[in-house]
Amino acid sequence: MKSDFYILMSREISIGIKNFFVLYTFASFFIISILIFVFAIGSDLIAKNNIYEPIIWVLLIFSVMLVSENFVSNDCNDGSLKELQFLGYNEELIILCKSITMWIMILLPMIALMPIVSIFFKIDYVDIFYLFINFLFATPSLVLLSLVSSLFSMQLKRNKIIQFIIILPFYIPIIIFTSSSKKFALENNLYNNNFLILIGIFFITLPLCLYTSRLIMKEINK
Amino acid sequence: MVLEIISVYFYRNKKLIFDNFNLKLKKSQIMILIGSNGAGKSTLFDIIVGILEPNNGIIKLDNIMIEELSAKKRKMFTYLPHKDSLKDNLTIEENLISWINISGNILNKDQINRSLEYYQLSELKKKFVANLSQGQRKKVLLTKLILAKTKLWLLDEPFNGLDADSIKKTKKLIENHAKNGGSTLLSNHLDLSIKNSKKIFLQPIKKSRDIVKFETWDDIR
Repeated sequence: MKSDFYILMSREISIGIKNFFVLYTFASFFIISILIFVFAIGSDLIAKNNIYEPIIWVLLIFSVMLVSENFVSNDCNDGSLKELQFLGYNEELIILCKSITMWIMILLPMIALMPIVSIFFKIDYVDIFYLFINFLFATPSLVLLSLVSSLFSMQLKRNKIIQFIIILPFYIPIIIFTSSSKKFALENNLYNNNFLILIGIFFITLPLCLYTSRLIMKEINK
Repeated sequence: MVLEIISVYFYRNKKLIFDNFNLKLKKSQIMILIGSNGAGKSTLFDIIVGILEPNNGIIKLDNIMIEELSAKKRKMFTYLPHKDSLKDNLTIEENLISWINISGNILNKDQINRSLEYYQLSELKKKFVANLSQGQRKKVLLTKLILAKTKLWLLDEPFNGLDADSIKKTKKLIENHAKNGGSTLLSNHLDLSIKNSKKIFLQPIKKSRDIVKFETWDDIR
């Protein structure tokens, strides 16, 4: 007897593999936006090296928000989200499986793009290692928040601005602690503390997002 | 009793949609809900499967309250809603395999291939759903009935978009299901004839400006 988690994960991954264009959209948006910043800043490598973290993280948030709609809106529009609900699948489990799939299929391949980004901003070996670590700990929270944001957009079909007003403040702690790791390192050598805070944020975000998703999914059907 | 709806009241946007609605579906029975657009047919299905909670009333499947069923629900009924739940980027075959997995059925590829022959979809099985016509999509959706092993079928407007031949085949499928002991509750906006079926007319009666009452065919008689 297969567990609900296994059934939903295999479903999401089989659909995700076929939606390869989502990864392509995500990667191309991220790289093109970074290139625009690189050209805007100019040839000053020191300036670029000082501000690369906020740029990367803000663009990463926008890229995640851009593709997260594909994971939710398609299911909402074709009725398969409703199908999963009436078949008795737990709403929290549906969103958990979607977020794991999104992280594996969209964000994990992004690690391959990091060396390219390091060339653009002249990031040294040590800093790129910390960027990887930050990436691993912060992106699960970003994925969960973006999925809640997408669910909001399905529920608030007419007033999409509310979605940003409600969700965007939750991105702020992630932005602060991911983009300040270099500053922390220079001043206090507190790299480890930063990662722990990101893990802490994830454990707050996880139940909060799953519970909110459940409520929104129930509202969508009304 | 396969399905029992007892004294259901349901409000939507402060409007009364169902006022003391009752329905009993027995074994081997076919019941057709007939009503105009917006009469509440799809809402009733959503209430039956537990997507919407009635403001008052009881829904029972095989004498078990719907709230108590959770994951067991998928073994008890097959619901084909108005939206087809088909993934555009998957082929017909992949869509059916995906549905088999989530609906808790265990079937092999041969069984899927045989079921596709009923609506002449075998040649199209490797075709992406995005490239199908509305009628073909509906046929893929109805193929799920051949694969389903449940005794209760809930079909929301199953004949929409189908050609005459496919309508005939679908009627036959429903009649055979009843012969084998299965029950079907289906909706349609037009009156249609299926052997040994009972019809219920969902008719909105405006009691006041904001209150709409529905009565069953039995009540009208």
